[in-house]
Amino acid sequence: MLSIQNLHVEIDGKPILRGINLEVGAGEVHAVMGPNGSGKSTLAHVLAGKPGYLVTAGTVTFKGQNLLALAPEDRAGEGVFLAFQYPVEIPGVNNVYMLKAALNGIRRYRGLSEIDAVEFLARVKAKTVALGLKEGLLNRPVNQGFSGGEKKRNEIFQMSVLEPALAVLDETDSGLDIDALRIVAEGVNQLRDAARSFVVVTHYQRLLDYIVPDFVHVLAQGQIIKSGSRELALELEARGYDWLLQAVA
Amino acid sequence: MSTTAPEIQALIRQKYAAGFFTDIEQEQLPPGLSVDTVRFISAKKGEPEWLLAWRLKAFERWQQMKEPEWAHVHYPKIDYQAISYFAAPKSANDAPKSLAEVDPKLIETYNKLGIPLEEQKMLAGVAVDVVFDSVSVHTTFKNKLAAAGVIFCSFSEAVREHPALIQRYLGSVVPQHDNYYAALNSAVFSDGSFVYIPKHTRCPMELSTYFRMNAINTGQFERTLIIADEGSYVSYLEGCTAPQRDENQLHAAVVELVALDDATIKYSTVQNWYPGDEEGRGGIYNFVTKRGDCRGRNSKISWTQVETGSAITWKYPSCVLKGENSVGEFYSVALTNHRQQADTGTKMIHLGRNTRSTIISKGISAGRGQNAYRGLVRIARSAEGARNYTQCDSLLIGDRCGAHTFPYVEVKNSSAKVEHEASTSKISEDQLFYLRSRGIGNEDAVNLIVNGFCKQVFKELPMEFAVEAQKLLSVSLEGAVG
Amino acid sequence: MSILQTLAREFAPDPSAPLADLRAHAYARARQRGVPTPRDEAWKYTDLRGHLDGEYVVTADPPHGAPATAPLLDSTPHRLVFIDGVLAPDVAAPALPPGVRLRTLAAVLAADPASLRALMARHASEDADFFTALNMACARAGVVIELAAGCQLETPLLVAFLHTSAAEQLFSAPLVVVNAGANSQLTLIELHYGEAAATNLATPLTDLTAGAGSVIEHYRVQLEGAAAVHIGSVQATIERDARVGSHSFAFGGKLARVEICAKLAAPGASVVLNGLFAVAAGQHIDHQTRIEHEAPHTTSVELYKGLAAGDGRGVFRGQIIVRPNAQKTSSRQASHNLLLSPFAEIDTKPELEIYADDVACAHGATVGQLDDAALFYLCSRGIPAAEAHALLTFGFTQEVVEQVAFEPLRRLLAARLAGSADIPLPERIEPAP
Repeated sequence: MLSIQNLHVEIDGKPILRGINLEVGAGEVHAVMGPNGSGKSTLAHVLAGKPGYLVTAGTVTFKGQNLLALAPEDRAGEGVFLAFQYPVEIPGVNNVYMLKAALNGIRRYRGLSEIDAVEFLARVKAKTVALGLKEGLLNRPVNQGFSGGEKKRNEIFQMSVLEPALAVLDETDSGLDIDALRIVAEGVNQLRDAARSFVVVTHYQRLLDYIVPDFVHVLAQGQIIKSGSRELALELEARGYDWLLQAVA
Repeated sequence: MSTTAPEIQALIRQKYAAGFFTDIEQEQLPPGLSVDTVRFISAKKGEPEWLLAWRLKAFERWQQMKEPEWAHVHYPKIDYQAISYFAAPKSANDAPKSLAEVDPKLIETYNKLGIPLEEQKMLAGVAVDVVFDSVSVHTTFKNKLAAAGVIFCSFSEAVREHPALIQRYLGSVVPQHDNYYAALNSAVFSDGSFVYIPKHTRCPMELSTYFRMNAINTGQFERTLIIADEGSYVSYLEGCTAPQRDENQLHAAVVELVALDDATIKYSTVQNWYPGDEEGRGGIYNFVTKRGDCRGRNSKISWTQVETGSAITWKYPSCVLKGENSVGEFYSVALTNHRQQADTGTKMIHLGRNTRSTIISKGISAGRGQNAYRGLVRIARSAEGARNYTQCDSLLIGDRCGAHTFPYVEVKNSSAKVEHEASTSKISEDQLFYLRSRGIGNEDAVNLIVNGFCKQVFKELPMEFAVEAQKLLSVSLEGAVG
Repeated sequence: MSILQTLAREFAPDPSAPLADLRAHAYARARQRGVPTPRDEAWKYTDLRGHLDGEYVVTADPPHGAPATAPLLDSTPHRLVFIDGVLAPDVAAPALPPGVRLRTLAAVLAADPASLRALMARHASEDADFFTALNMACARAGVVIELAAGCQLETPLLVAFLHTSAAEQLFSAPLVVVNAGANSQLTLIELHYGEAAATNLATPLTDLTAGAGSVIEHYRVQLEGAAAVHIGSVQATIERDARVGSHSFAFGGKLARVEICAKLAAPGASVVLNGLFAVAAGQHIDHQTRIEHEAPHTTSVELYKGLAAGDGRGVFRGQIIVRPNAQKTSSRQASHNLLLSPFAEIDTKPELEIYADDVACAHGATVGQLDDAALFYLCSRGIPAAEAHALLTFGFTQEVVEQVAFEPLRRLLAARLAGSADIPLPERIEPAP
């Protein structure tokens, strides 16, 4: 589904990613772990097409297409979703309205007709209940006045409504207490199926107790220095990153 | 930064949608301005002697005045002798008694603009006083309003039918010599609207006037007077579009509002006159004087405006808060694009005790547009306990536009509290990316953000107008879901 | 009799004097501009009529020579004191470190007038306003301070202009010039002090140039006598990565005004404008500030606080201008004012004029009175109402005073704010340590 080969990325002339290789198959959950500043968020941003990053080498292929050539909204149209580490506040723009615009944007991209308002509302209602989201949040401006936990839950809520093929979760666990973490993880787990893939970017293995990954990759200094199964995450939890960094060095 | 620029450019380059010209026979005065012009207009309208005298006095004063230059706008000198000061649709001589008698071309014009003249308005419960160039040709719902005792008619008709009210209130809010353009208007005003809401009456419907300028080189000098008597309420809507053309058109209207004890006037404007083309050719000069007088205790005047049109806007809808506990409000969205220039804002003059005012101003600058907020909050010594809150935000789209904020705060009473906040920033890249990553195209994302930025003002507009306002900002319907 | 007539009499051009051509040019420029009126936007709230009509003299004759006392004079060993326009003989000050050059204006005019040509030409240009041109035409008392590249002067420099004469109306146009070389550092205290009865007119001009990477802290303290008229100006040009801190404290004069203009001329330049004014009965104090962001990545932060008591009138106008190409500008401005009496007046006019798009600019202004809830809180703790007022008023000013790094000045301000007739200082308040 997603194939990243030899990806090199710079910000303001400074290399951040230095040759990433990653293959994500349909239905797989990949965890990307690593110390702060290792390039985890950069990888997430580049997949979603955030401006300001310069890809200097390598390719990213998604469902056989060159993902890097697409505008952010077209990537969403193809089924890529990024759950932001810091969800953006947009004053005056209603949360649900934004979501409807997004869903219709994606549908238009796929040559589908716009969604019927009743159908849309029913879908939103169902997801709200499933995620235990306060209904009041739906009609508030996007992320404005939301608590940290509410923002993260809102990201997962958007994901569940938009039903992406590839979801990239950027430090979705940061700043969450254990209850919020569990709810967010449940939201993700509900969406797991054979056709949908996840890239879960995280600093701590805590999240992986709830979202059990098929593969774990360690990113350091812009490269994946080790890949393994879930056990690798547990080992990192127990021993930290230093032993691995030293081993590589 | 540069990745989004072309899309934004495309978005703000949208063509003016209401640009077309109706070919209709006009009875038009040749260009020129003199005592004779003033006399001609007055005679043409069959005005009483006192009104002619009033016009002549205004003309005399205007001749002694100088065109103001303090505003943050630049334009070539206007040749006041090159303007024609009177034009009326021919059929006005024998005024139409029903819609069927109205020139079909006129109706067609309105339909092209999507102005719902009869059916739509009837469904919406709105009466329409349509001004085509200078003379009112059609009014609906008169009977229903008459039953409530509400007077809603053209200014000329009011001069004939309600001379006592006109004589009492004309010029009592905006004196003839208030400013250069008000003086000019006082001398040559052609027509406009008059509203009187009797004591303890809630006007049964929103009153709405669509203005439309049409004839070449015709200055528009509308005069609107609204009086809300004790304990009454009225909501008045004003909306404008104009056909595309190359010559600049001068518009110098005067609007006077009077709110007596416990009365409320809500005045909403959507202004979408021709802004000129991308190079700044053509477009309307909009030099308007709008002022409300909160004369009575507990009275309230609320101005809401969405200004997207005109080449130059010079406009400061104001409130004079005389009555104890009276309230003034000003909600404004002003968009300048291409080479449009706007110098707009408000004045809140606090004279009475415990008077309160709120100012919310949202300026959007794009292209080479220059957008200035100019607002005065004056608390007189007599205004014990007065309060003002002002919020003034500017959004910049593109690096060749300008946003300027010139608030004047003058406080002479130590029990008053005045607060002013302002910010200026460009449209946020983070917000744009967030929306785009959700699948929303760049243009829609910009619209969404702009719409959100203006929300505080839009929510003050009557529903229909809010929709039109959003359309004007190329924004999809927000809040329709959920 | 007016200032212009006085000038015509006193300043008959002397072709043999140094820089006579520029003096004459500036004089002509001042005459051409004329005394500003409230019709000028910059003078909208300050009416000079009746304030410039004295029988001015330019030197006290004979010189008073009396030793004058004023606050802050002993606060630093490096000082230059002018009494009624005449340089006072001073106790031997310790020698300035190498790299610092301090000369009186008279000395520069006598020995090296050419070094002032560019500055004078600039301030007497087409754009010069009346008082700047006036200063250029007349400046006699003054000082030129130059710092060599990399020179860091640890001890503050004090330049004081004292006025004692009550018999004659003395007119003076002091000039202070600072040229700070690259990466140099200077703290300058500029004091304008008048004895209670002094009836002088002062139109000082301060020109600051902060070279690349330099830091200038400029404290301007205006304590003129109650009958004085003071119209001053500070013009700062700030180069790459340089920083100027301008702190203006204005308490004196019947009519006083300061115009402070900071040009952020190169990337990385920054300015902090701090100000505090207090007007009591019969006083009018006007502050006009103007920050021009001319280059990208420039920063300004401005905070002005005003107190108005009696029938005093306080005026603030703060212009922030962001020129095209000055992208990534950051600018914050606040003007907060307290009205302490029913007859006082505050006029404030914060302005943003922005011609670039990638900016974050904000301003705020408030005019109000002390918080009732806070007053009640203090009173409920047993503090008498008057004292509670004073305490809160004092607290209101602290945000500005706290930014004063020069301790003797901070102590003076605390005492001054506490000592004003309208704002009694409660016993328990100690000046900030």
